[in-house]
Amino acid sequence: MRPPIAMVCTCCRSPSEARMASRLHALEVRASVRRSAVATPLRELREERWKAVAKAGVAKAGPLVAPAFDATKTSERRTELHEINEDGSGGEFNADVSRMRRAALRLIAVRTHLSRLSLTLSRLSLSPSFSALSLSALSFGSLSLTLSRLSLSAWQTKHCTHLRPAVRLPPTGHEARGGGL
Amino acid sequence: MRLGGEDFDVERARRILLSVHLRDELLRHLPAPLSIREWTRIFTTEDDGALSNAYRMCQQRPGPTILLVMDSKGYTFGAFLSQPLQVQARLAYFGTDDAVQPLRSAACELPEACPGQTIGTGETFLFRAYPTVEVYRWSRVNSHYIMAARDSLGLGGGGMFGLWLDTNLAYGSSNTSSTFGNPCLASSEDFEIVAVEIWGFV
Repeated sequence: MRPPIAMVCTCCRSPSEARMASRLHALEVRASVRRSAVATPLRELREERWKAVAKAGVAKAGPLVAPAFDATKTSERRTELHEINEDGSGGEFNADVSRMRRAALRLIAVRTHLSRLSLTLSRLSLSPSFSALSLSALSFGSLSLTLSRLSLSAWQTKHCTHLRPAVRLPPTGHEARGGGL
Repeated sequence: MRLGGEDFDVERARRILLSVHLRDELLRHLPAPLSIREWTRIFTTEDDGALSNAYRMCQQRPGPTILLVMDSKGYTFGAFLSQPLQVQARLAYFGTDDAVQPLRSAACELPEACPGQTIGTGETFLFRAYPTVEVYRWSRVNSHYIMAARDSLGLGGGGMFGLWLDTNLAYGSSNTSSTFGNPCLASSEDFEIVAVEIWGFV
């Protein structure tokens, strides 16, 4: 039942060694299982062990007596993290969320402004002479939006690296419809 | 199974390895994004059986997981797995030190020729929950985090497995490993497994 011989990096030195060691160990353990619990189904084996643990009184000091995990605790913690105090103060998480929300609102405002500008230019482009100008404006608009996104990403990377997986800004209505500029 | 629901069974709850105290202790060591996510039990030997089922159920719910093991002496220990368990087609360790690549030293056994064999982060760690709570983080000596074979699961390496579980999740072993610099986590180097749980985050 001893663990296998010294483990090595299996991908570079000797892949077969680790595989062999693992299999040998598994065979050894299986043999041990057969010896110790001949024809005993695994479920019964575990049940016996549970009873033995309880009988030995290990559970009295062990983790079994501790209050079982309650998912609501996590919810409480989440509420705490989201909570903003009456005086406007909050945890680091709240501050980061507020900053991100403000940045997102600013981005949406810029995008709306650019969309209106593009629409105006499109209407003006009824005459051919305005077409080139309109296209330039649209390109400029897209460029501005890209830059805004980049600056927001850079800001997020700098300030909120630890929050990125947890805080995901919902898509705007425009994005949800699959539209762009 | 998510605890606290309507199907909450007191008798079964007594057999849950994860306690509030342990969860609070682990929260201090988990990556920050996980600290605000709810915990849900993905796998337990009480209901789900053996290692192959553990792999299957972890694949259904990809993400970081916490492995908990209790031996017949009541010692409880486990590991935080920064990547979901999956059977490796080619036996190799996964979980890497990408974030600290410059720190890789001559002591690391992985040559430059095989960086693609390992993925993930160096956030994986081993811990002991009972009798005392102790966390053993990556020692940066090597990158042998997880070896998920069809017939066994090994954590830590560079000498002996830090934690090794057999295919039936009936027997295991724990030794000093260079990867995490941990001592024997269980009551003895070779131990009988009473229960195994895997918790994920939603």
